[in-house]
Amino acid sequence: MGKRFFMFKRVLHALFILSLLSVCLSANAALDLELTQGINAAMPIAILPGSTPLTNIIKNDLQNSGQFRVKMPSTFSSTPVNLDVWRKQRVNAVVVAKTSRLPMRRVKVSYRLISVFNNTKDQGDVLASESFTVAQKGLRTLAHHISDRIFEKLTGVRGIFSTKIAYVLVQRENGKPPRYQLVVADADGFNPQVLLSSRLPIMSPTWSPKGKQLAYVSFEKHRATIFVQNVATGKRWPVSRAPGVNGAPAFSPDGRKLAVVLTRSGNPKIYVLDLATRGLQQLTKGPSIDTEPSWSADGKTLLFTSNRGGSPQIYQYTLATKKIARLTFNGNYNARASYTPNEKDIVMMHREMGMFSIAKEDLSSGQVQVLARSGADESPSLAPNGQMILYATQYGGRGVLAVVSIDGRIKLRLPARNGSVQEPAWSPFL
Amino acid sequence: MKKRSSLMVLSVCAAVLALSACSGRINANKGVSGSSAEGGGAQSYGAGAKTTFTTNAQGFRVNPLTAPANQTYYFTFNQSTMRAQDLNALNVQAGYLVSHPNARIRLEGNTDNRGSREYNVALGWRRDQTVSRFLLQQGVKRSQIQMVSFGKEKPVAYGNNDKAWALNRRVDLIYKAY
Repeated sequence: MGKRFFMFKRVLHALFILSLLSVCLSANAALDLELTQGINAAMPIAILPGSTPLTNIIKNDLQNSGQFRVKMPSTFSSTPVNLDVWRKQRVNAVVVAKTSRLPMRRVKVSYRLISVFNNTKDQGDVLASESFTVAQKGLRTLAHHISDRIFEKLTGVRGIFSTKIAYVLVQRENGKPPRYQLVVADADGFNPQVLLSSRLPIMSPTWSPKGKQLAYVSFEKHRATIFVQNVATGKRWPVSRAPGVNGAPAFSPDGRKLAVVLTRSGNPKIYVLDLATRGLQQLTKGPSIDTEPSWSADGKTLLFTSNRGGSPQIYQYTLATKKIARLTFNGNYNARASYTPNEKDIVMMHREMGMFSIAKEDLSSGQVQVLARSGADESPSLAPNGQMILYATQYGGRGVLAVVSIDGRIKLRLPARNGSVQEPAWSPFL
Repeated sequence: MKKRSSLMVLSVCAAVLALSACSGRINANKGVSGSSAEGGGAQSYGAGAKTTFTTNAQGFRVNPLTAPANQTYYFTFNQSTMRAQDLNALNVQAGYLVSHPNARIRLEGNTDNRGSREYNVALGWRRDQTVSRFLLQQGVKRSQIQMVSFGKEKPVAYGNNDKAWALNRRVDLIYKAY
């Protein structure tokens, strides 16, 4: 396939998505999602009826996952589904949704997911059929939930359309000091909520295991403090304000502990803070820089970045044995690693020939695969289903977020409407 | 207190500006002759901290060799060793801090924009340590020095080029109390 054709397709995709996004009603997007590379083997499906608020959201969700090519009639039509027509259009499945208004600003939504194969006469194979009643303002949330259900039925993998992302937004206006904000938004960038606004930097937001809290580093008052903040209520409290560095917080899988970086010993080292007792346990020692701790799903090991070997590389600490093993041997800069959910791979920031990229390393073979390669890629964060990686990069002279699939084939970009975005963190399943 | 010290600041600024106009273009690499510790003997101090600064032709801040005066020290890539002219200026501050035990400073470590954010916080910390180690050796008390590292979060120059990188690799020394 010629490069030009692919570029054309990309532009078409982007334009299509953008035009759809501009039609989405009663929601506020501060990040605009653009699919920049999908896969040719994307599953073709149809969604009916066309161009309603509900079906537009479902279409965007499924299409932006890169795994579906969605066909949708351009206008609203309530005529019954003719599966033969869709079979001829070569779709694998059809989603038929029905929305009816109820009194007191409530809506009843029902949908059917029908496979065009395995049919007896025109019935088709109904893979899912559900009905919901929600308040009108809950329609967007419901649409994402239906996208999750469809995604899981058709791919076997749990969908992430109802998850959230946290990120830091920096606004720099000429002549004014910069403004930093900690923001939480839907996974598609909609409904941003500002959790913290500051004149001094905010860093390293990280989610608690159930998604109810965020821990982050704030430099308010010209010193580093780690706060834990309740996402729903906004209430927050400081958990670490030692002199010097307080950085890189990471919740343990049981939510009881926070791995942090402190310079109490004089050098940046990894500690584990018990959130209930405030007891501190020092994990790493010595004169090196150790930072960016990240827990395994079973809570038994932590990944961290260290220059103890001469340059930043990824190491693994086993809590039971206190043993440390080096994991990366490819390239002279590897940092900010995290495990995939099955712990078979790690995803990290990786430098080759001076260019920073997002890479995945298979832990059993040591083989490294570069997934995204702009030269300024950083801060990778895995989706809870392990399929997509959210990260920060540069585009058009400012910081933007981007998404790449775990196999590198699907790419999306999320520039902010205003300002520079950095340090994204994908929430757990909520 | 506030009014008096701002008047002092203004007069100190006016004096330095007048001096600099007289001595011609200031070049950070050559150093500025003025009240300097090199001459031995007495070191005079201003009564208010100089919070304005001058920059040289390349855009780098020029550290006054008076105290108390806020400073900026620059570092080469991946290094945390100090330049000779920076050590001179730092030495003047050290003298002030030792003779004024209630004086307090904050060191703010910074890096250029390359690399992982938290790793850069640690690199900025290393630069803070270099500055503070020198001060402690000169007899400054640890309680007079607060250290914070902003890593690459607070750049003063933007862009992916050597100049922006060099301007950002710095430790800012800021007086909190005189």
